[in-house]
Order: sequence, then C-alpha cells, then structure tokens
Amino acid sequence: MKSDPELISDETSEAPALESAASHGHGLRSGKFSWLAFGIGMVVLGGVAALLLNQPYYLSLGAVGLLFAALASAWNIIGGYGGQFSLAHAVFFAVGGYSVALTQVNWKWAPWPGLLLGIVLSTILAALLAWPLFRLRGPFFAIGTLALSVVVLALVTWMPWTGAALGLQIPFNEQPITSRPAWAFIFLGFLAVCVAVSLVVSRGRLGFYLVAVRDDQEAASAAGASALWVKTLGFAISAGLTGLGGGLYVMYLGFLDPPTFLDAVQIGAFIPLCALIGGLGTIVGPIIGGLVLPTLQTYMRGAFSNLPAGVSEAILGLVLILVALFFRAGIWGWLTSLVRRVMSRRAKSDERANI
Amino acid sequence: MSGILEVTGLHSGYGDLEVLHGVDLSVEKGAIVSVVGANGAGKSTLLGTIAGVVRPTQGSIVIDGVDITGIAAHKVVGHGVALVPEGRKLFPFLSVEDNLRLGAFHKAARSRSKATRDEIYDLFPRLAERRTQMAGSLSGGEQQMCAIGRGMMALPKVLMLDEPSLGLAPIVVEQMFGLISNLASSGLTILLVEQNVADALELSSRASVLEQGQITMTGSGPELLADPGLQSAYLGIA
Amino acid sequence: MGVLTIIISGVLVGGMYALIAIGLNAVFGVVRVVNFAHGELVVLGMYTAYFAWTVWSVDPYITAVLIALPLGFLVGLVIQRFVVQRLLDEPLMQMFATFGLLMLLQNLFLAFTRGEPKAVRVAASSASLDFFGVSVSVSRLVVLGAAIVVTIILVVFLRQTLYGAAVRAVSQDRGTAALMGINVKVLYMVAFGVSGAIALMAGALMSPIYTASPALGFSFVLPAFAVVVLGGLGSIGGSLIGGLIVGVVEALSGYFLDPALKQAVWFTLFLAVLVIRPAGLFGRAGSEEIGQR
Ligand SMILES: Nc1ncnc2c1ncn2[C@@H]1O[C@H](COP(=O)(O)OP(=O)(O)OP(=O)(O)O)[C@@H](O)[C@H]1O
Ligand SMILES: [Mg+2]
Repeated sequence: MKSDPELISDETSEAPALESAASHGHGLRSGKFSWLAFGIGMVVLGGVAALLLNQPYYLSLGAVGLLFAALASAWNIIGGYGGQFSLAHAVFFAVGGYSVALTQVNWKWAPWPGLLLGIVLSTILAALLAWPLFRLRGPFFAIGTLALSVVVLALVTWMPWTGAALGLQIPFNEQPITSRPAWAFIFLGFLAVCVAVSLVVSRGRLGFYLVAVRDDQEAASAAGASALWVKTLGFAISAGLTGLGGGLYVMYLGFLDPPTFLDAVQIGAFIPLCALIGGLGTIVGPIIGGLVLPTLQTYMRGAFSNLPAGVSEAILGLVLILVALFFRAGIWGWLTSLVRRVMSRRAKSDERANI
Repeated sequence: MSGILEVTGLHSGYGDLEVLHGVDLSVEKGAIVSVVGANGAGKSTLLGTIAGVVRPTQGSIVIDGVDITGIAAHKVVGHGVALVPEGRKLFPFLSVEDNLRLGAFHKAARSRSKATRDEIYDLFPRLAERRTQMAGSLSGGEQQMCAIGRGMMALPKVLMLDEPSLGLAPIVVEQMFGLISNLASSGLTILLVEQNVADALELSSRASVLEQGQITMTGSGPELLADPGLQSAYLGIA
Repeated sequence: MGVLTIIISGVLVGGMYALIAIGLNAVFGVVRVVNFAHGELVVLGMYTAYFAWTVWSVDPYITAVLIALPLGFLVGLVIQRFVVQRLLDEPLMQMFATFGLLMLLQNLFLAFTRGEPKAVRVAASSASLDFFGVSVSVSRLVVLGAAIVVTIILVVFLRQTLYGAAVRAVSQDRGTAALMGINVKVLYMVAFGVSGAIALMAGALMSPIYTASPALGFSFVLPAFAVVVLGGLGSIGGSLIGGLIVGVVEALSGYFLDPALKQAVWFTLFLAVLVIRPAGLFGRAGSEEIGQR
C-alpha cells in the first residue's frame, strides 16, 4: 500500500509488516528448494506423530492442530496472499461436512465420493458467490461474508433435510476409520495437500496477481490483471480445500451439528486467526498458527479449569489484539526477521574481519 | 537573509528513502518565489515537509521568526503556512462553502472567516455562484479556484501552491497564472511549485531549480529564463 | 394479531437496531473502522445498568444518562487511542484487533457473570400504552425516542456546525483535513468516544427489556452493520430509517414465514443491497470508497 505524503501526519507510518512478510514468499527461495523444505517438513511432522502413537491425548491434540493448520493454509490463499478477510469459510467447511454426512446417512454412500462431492460443491459455490461478494471491498467484504455465514447457519438450522438443529449422526459401524491414530496421519495428508496447493499457487502467476491485487487493486488492474478473476480463482481454490477439510472432519467426529461447523467465531473467525498468528501470506505461517492456536486453547482450558469459563478465550482475544498491534507478521514473520537480523550482523562482522 | 519563510539545510524523505538532501530556500514577504524541476525531483516533498505532512530529518524551517521544524501538520497552518496540495484535494462531498469554511478552521483565521469568505467570493465570482454545489462536481478550473480560495481562508503569511496548472486546459492555465500574479500584487506571499517552467519563471521575482533533491540554481525569474542550461533542460530550447 | 400490531412491534425493535447502529456509524462512517466489538459495548451498558441497579438501586434510565454516557465515552476513547489509532493504515489488522476485542469482552462478561443471565426489572419493563387499540411497551418506546433524539442532535451537529463539517471532511480525506488545522487524532478519539457513549447508553436503556448475557453482543453487531450499510455509511438519518426497515422486515417475516427465518430474510435483503448499491439506500454513491485508501 503506497501512502500519500499527505496521509503521513504526525504518526510516522509503520512499514507494513505484512508486505515484508509476504515478499519472502517470492523470489529468494524459489522452485526446488521450497519443495525440498516441504518434503522435509512433512516427514518431520509425520515423525513427530509417529513418536506420539501411544500417547492418545497428545495425538488427538496433534490431529486437530494438523486439521487447523491445513484449514489456515487454505484460507491463507485468499485471505493472506489475496488480502480478502473472508469470514465465510465456515460455509465451505459445512458444505464439505454436509456432503459427506447427507450422502452417507440418506443414500448409504461411502464417504470418499462424498468428499469429492464436497470439494466440487464448495468450489462451485465459492465461484458463484464470488461475483456478488467481490463487488464488496475491504471491510464490506468482511461484513458481507460474515452475514453470509449467519444466513447459512439460520437456514441449515431451520431446514429439516439437513437434520436441523440436531444435525446428523453417522452410525458407528458405518464409519470406515475409527482408529484415532490414523486420523493424525490423514490430517497430515490433508495438510500436505493444502500446503502443496499453496506452494503451487504462491510460486505461480496466480499468487503473484493475488499479492498485486491485495497491495494495490487499481495498479494491478491497470497492469492487466482482472481483479475479479484473480480473486474468484483464489477464493474457489481456497474454498475447495476447506470443503475437503469439512468432509474429513465429519468422518473424524462421526457427527455433524450446525454450531460445530458453522459457528462464526469458533470456525469462521478461528481459521483466519490461526493464519494471522502464524504469519499471513506465507507458507509456513499458517501451519505454525494452526498447530499452535488450537493446542494453546485446549491447554489453557485445562490449565484454567478451576477459573470461571471464558478466561482462556478472553486471553485468546487479548493475544489476538496484541498480535495485530505488535506482531503483524506473526510467529513465522518474527522468526524470519530475527534470523535475517542475526545473519546481517554476522555478514557485517565477516566484512570487518576481511579488511 | 530575512525572508518571511526560511528553509535551511533541509533533509527529508519517506522511511529509508531520503528525497531532499539539504535544501535552502528563502521567501521574501510579498514576493512570488517559485521552485521548478522535473517529475520526482522532490518539489511536492519540499512543500509537504514545510507543511508538516512529511517529517524532516535535518535542517530547519522558520516562518516569520518562529521555528516550525517537525511540528505536526495541523499545527503548521496556525503559524501562517497554508498548502494548496497537488491535485487540489478538495473534500468532494462537501459544498464549496463548507470547503472554504474549513480553510479557516484554525483559531487565528476563524473569527475573520465570514469576511475573508466574502473577499474570496468577490475574487472568484464563479465560486459564489456555486457555493452550495458539491466541490467534487466542479470543473477542474473551478476546483483549483476553490482550492486556492480554501488556502487563502487560512489568512496565511505564505501560501504554497503545488502545481496549480496541473490538468487544466491551456487557456485556463493562463487565467490561473494571471490570478496568481494578481494575488501577489495584492500583497500575498506565494511559494509556487510548477512544471510549467516558462510561465512560472515569468511571474516570479525569484526562483530555484530543484534537481534530485538539491537546489542547483537560484536567481531572479528573468535570469533563470535566460540561462542556457535551464533552457535546454526545461524549456526544450537547444 | 393484526398487521398493524406487527408493524408497530417491528418499528419498536427497529428503534433499538437504529440506536445501536447510529453509534456504530459514528466510527464506521467517520474513522472507517469496522468495530466488531460494538455489540459488546452495548452489553457492557446493560451490565452497567444492572450493577447500578442492584448495588446502588439506581434506576436504569438515570444510569443511562449519568453513568453510561460518560463511561462509554471513556471506553471508546481508550479503544481508539490504544488500539485503532495504531492501525489506521492497516484495515486487515483493524478487523483482527476489533475481533479480538469482541472475544476478550464477551469472555470477560462470561467469566465475571459465570454465564448467569442478568435482568433489570423496573416498572417501565411491564408498563404499556394504548395506541389505537395496540398495546405499546413503554420501555421500547423510550429506546425509539432515544434513537430519534440522538439522530436529531447528530444531524444538526454534522450539518450546521463547523466541527460537524470538520468531521465530514476527515471522513473524506484525513490527510487534507490535517492541512486545514484539524487535529485528526483527537477528532477520531472523540468520534470513538461518542460511539461508545451511545452504545453504553443504548445498553442501559435496553436493560429493562432484555436479559443481559455474554452472547447477546454478537447478536447485536450484525444487525447494526446491516443497518449502517442499508442506511448509508456516515448517514445518521439513514441509520435511523435503516433500523426501522430492518425491524419491520424482521417482524413481518417472523410472522408470515417462520420466526426462525426472520434474521435470514433481512440478511439476504442486506446482502442484496450491499451488492447492488454498496453506498446504501441513503448514502452517496461512491462515498463508501473514499477514505479507505
Ligand atoms: N508517500 C511516498 N512514499 C514514498 N516515496 C514517495 C512518496 N511520495 C513521493 N515519494 C518519492 O519521492 C520522490 C519525490 O517525489 P515528489 O512527489 O516530491 O516529486 P515532485 O517533484 O513533486 O514530482 P511531480 O512533478 O511528479 O509532482 C519520488 O521519487 C517519489 O517516488
Ligand atoms: Mg509533485
């Protein structure tokens, strides 16, 4: 965002941390190196999961963390790279969930074609919604998507064929995977898919245009990028992955009820929060945020169980405010800037040594 | 050296980017002083720094004996410096009258607001006719008049005009320069930034050339007009 | 139940939406910040009234004017000064921060009240007037009246005074407004203060009608956004009318369709308006774009 000289009043404008956080998503570590890092990262996560195999508590914590890491990565495509604060991703999450649950409960489908259906439906829905929603910009887009998710929650709760407020229950003997450890690895696979797609998008032309549109829509449009197309594509890809996540989550839980899938705060806002706390517009950031935030929340709920309900969520809210104020680049952005600072200091002292 | 506005050794810029590298400028009372230069030379940055919207890193700005270096933009106007920004920057959804009233927002000018406004309406009858119209719906020339009028409402000791001829038809440009010279002859001190070098130099008593953030030439208007280096660089005369 | 009864009850509910939305509009329309926590401020007003009523036996209507107004002004000021002011050029971070504020306040309410509903019940809670054969709740009438009074005060201020013009100028171009000698930072703080004051006052006035609970705030903020957008950004009169429209639409759809769908109906209406005319019904076309960059 280029600011007018007139806008810089008595407050010196702080350098947008967001941009610097995003910029090292491009250039520098391109192509093969990032795929190598991706492979190593997944193997490491898999190894950690394997080590936790006989620790069911930590394993299930890890499973949920991996799920949210994946969801945050998916959201990050449109929210981080594209800068569109979508609060509607709960809707796509639910579309995926209902696709699996409804086809299985009503028509005895296996969950796998249901998953595929969920991906297709949420992608199509996102593409259709993109036209009206992307007429809205900035805060209006956020409010519009929030309103959308509230409408969908109301409709789903009201309609009888979605199971209304009670939701849907998948009989235990029809759940193909009931082993808890298996789920950690399934969600890891889901994370791998989301990160791989993010890598392809962010290293490719779409990612470049998404960032361009985020930073300056007018300039990007003038340079020939159709802002609507770019955002629609990013939104649809992001939504498709989120739909897949919703389908998997239903299989994991074995049931589906509207608040679990459509809550505007617990899902709709929570996913973006994971991405923010990890680091918006980066590959690694949302993974970290997704792993950390749900774990932290569960941990705090346990640790503060003798305090009144709400304390741990209040702390989460406070953390969020502080991150927005002081750590805009998130955990990953903070780490990388720390590393860069150390490196440049070392480079300087090397120079001095050479003289 | 006792101009009403004295700029000495001014450095300023945006973040890590330094745009002005030690600019000196002196504006005598009642004169038109112009600063000319190519795109990106730093002319708007110079005016912006004087007006307090860009932070100086070194040097000083003194208006009528008062050091105003680095004070906040909203306080500068009270010391007698008004900026008519590049591209006019009127409040598009406010009426002409409200735009003018806001020009006299600061305390020293507020009490005389009505009288000044009437003088401005006398000067620009077109504005008087359109006083209730939204400023955003004025023509380009009218908008520039309104912006200048809004600057004058502040009763400034120095009125700074950033490219008043920008985007105007040649005939309107001529009227605009006529008007500026009238304003000066009525006693107003003007610091003018222009790319229309020939016109600007013609009506200036003194002028400076700004190149890449430094003043490279200073002299009277006619002197600079006659300078062969300046002619080839800015007037297209080989 | 006749249609007239439904419309009247819709208008009364609409008065509440309008009052909440007007406060929201003071920041959304002027500072251009989406304050997701606005509904929590309303709830804070309700708890304030409850506290004053149980501890000092102060009537909620007295609390509304003497305690909620100044306290709300202070709260708004603090939010602006310590959160929003640092994020002026960061629209995405503003939304994260005010969402964080929403979570913080909502859960603090939960922690402090242990989730117990808090109800203020005074004479006005059950009093009603007869209006052409329809019984009208006095306490709701007070809220509607407050919405009208606040609208008139703000509209006169914005249209007729120099400071009002300054507020409008800042909402259109804050950089240039500073050149006029307007202290934008202070003006933003005042705008947030006024917003907070109206929110807490609204909460105190609503306390005899509603039972305060932590989740209530979130259910207020979306209708309020809808009203602001319907009525037009920065248009106070538009918020009043927008609030009444939303109230009536909600009442009618609750009666003719299904009470469970009443929100869905006007949200859809809201989305449609947002898409067709982002400036709102009474906002100036294009005005939603300026001041955002
Ligand atoms: N807000 C800003 N942030 C960063 N750099 C800026 C900003 N405004 C101007 N610059 C840079 O400062 C330099 C000088 O710009 P300035 O606007 O002062 O030039 P100018 O002489 O007024 O040019 P013009 O004739 O085109 O108006 C340019 O290189 C420009 O890119
Ligand atoms: Mg310029």
